[in-house]
Amino acid sequence: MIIERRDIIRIAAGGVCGTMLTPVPWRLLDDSAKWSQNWSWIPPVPRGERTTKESYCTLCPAGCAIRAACVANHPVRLDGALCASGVAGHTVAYHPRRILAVPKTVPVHGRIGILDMGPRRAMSTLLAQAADAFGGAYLRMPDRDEATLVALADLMGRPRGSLGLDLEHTRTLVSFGAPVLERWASPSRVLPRWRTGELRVVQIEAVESRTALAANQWITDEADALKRAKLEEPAVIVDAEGRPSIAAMNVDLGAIGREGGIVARAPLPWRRVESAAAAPHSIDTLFIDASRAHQLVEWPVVRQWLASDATIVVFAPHESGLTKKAHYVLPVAAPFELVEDVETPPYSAVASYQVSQPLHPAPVVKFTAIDHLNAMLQASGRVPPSVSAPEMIKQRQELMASYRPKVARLSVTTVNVPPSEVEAGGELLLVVARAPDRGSPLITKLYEESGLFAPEHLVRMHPETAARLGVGSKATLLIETQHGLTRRSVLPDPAIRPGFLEITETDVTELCAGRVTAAKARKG
Amino acid sequence: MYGMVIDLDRCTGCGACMMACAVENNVPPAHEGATPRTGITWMRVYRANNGAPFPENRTAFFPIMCQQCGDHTPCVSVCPQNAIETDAETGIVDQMPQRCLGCRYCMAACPYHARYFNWWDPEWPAGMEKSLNPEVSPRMRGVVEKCNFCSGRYHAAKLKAAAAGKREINPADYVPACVEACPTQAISFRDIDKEPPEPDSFQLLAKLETKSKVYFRSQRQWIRDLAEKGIGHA
Amino acid sequence: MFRGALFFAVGMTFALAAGWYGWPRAIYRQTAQPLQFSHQVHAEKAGMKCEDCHTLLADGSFSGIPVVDKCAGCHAAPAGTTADEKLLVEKYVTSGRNVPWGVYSRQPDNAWFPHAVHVNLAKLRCEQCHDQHGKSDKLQQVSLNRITGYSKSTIKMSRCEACHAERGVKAGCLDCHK
Repeated sequence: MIIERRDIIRIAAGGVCGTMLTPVPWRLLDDSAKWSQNWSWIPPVPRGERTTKESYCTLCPAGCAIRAACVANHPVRLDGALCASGVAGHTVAYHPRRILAVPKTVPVHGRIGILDMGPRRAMSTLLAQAADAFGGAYLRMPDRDEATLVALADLMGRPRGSLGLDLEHTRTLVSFGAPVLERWASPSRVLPRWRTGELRVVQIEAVESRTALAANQWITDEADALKRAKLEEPAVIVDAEGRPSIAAMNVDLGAIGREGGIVARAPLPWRRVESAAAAPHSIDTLFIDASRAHQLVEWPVVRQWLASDATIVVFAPHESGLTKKAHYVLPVAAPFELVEDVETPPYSAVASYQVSQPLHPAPVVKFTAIDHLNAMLQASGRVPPSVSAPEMIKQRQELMASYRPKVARLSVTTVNVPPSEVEAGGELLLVVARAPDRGSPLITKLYEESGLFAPEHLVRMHPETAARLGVGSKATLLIETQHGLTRRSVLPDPAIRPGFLEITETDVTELCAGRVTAAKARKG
Repeated sequence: MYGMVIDLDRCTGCGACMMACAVENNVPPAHEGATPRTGITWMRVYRANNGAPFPENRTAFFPIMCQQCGDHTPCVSVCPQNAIETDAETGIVDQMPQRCLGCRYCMAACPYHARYFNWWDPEWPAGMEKSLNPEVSPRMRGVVEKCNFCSGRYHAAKLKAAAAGKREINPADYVPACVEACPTQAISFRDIDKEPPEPDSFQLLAKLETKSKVYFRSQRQWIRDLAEKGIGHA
Repeated sequence: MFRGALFFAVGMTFALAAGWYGWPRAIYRQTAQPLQFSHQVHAEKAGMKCEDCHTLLADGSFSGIPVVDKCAGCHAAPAGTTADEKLLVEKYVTSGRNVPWGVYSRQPDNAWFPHAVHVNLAKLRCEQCHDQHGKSDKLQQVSLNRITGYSKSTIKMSRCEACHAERGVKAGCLDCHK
């Protein structure tokens, strides 16, 4: 039999009819649909044993308690009274631009400075010791964490850090520009009592900050503010900038040594490390430990220290505005990767020491700033500090376990307040709005994906101010203060008070020295 | 029926709720080029202004998520795929990304702009997939997603109750991420049949009669007025 | 005509055979379990019940297939004479590595099946869903669909819906999906 082409067609036709009578076409359709639903390119969720780890947050000095829900030993969720940065703190280790490479050589020359951006840690003591070993200076940014208490301590002739605020019993918190309803002191000492109405907040601030808009009373003008404030005793006054004249008002209020006011606080049983004074332009190599990034790096202060041709070396877990200014960047562990410690939180009424256990099972980078510095010390034939950070933390834990300080009651009747400097007014006033730092990959929710916090390239101003400056939306504005200058893109916003410019900074600033400064601005 | 009562006089616009929501629900970080229109924020805090000239100008923050509308759910009525269902027991408007074909009709229908489209496949930085929440299933590109009152936590509460042989969950076990994270406890989550919202509570765009289960409270009249009219994108 | 019909029939027969007999064999990839395990031996000789290895944990989640620590509880050293048990002890127990069992009933990620609800509240018995697996002497090969990746015995949504309908239990989207 000769098989013709038609026969082949007949076989095929029979095949098709036969196939229609089998489950195959429908199974193929079904299976293809299921395959397309597999989404195999989406990462699967973790599987494994669920455990909890307890620790403390080290992103800022408040040291809030954390309970981490973990799957297969990796943290998946942080529970606790945590802020926007804290709830995603375990994701900072996964920053897409983590610093991983160690440069082959870092030229260390001339006088060394070590800038500690996370003071009051065991690491701080070690950095200070390393600075001594180099024959250099241990440096810090101006301490704004407990500005009012530091000013009062100075006025009363007491050691810095020896005062606390009995927030647990305060009825009225009068704040001169301090962000008391935002991330200030230990938020869990303020916010729950404020929420129930037990604590009233009187915010004295020229612009409507987040604290001002939520406060019980908002007063825009500092002059005679206290007379207009509705006070319920016990009341206490804090100032964002720590001006002695404002801090001293607590004495007149009778808040010193009283329940709900300023109280004596025991020091910790080890020496408090203070910043050295560095002569202007005396530092040739500046190391910056930015492993804890809660405070802004004030670049005008840094520039004042740097000699010409100075080398800047930054220790950071991931890229940031600060690493862009560095000549060399060295990798360090991210938050929650290693054992860390938190000393007495700002404004705390009692001395405390918290050891924060790591949440991640293994660090991506296991170095810290002191590891790099020790290597450099050894390479140059000098003697590095003998104790490691974990060892020092353990020693301090043991010291705290047996520490029973006696705290005397405070009393003072008058203090001598030095005449306050009159701030030069300017045609414009610049407000630096502090926004959450960009450590967690998810922080885009608050910036790019919602605009809740303004992006850093913008300057917001009232349309009247924009008109006066002759600029419109998206124009480039050159803003200058006594500290430095910056270029930003204009965004008119009627919510900003006329005569004010508002910019956002997240990690390093060219301008700030406190929240409000006189400024000049022009197109360009 | 679960509902929320949000005290707008206690919201400081800190964004902790937004971050906690993203962590809980496996929402990926922004894709390159994402904007407030294309980003995914199941919970979004809007900045509202009373529009008055200085010195009466005032700002407030509105945390807005899916309002979990009641009978006349705009999104449920328009979905061609039946990918959305209002759960009879909890009242949660449940979005099924697996059934969604991405037509975005529901996004147009939603008066609260509370629905978000996955313009891109989710991408997490290397290693971050180990921190995903196993109780929530990630979505692919091309589907719509929105707040579901943290159903993953509801399931976990049910599981815990069932392990002890109970059918009713312990209310303390079911707390959505935003409620837990809010530092001022501005958001209250509860069974609003058992504990109705306070008499001075109001809904957003109440005249649309969506019978939403998210209520707001404020002593400020301009905020109450705004809730009737609606607020624009900041 | 007859000739045409013959060729047609030939084609049809091949297609029917391929579709009904060939396809099921081709579409599934058979994978053997890493080692043999006899439920029957453990149930009868060792007197164990399902719950001894497949338990509900305190938070309500299901332990699934036990980790090697559970096996190590009795099999720190070989208790019998089989080659499989020797393999278990040498390769897995001593090193603490979990046995990479093939799962017969893995569901997609977005399905939420709570054993606690079905066992504790609905009072279902293991056999009602897992058939006689608990009495089997040998573990079958795992048949995975080459296209979808799911096992042949993965329970489909229609079966869940049918049982829920039969018992009058609510089955809304939220009840079964994440």
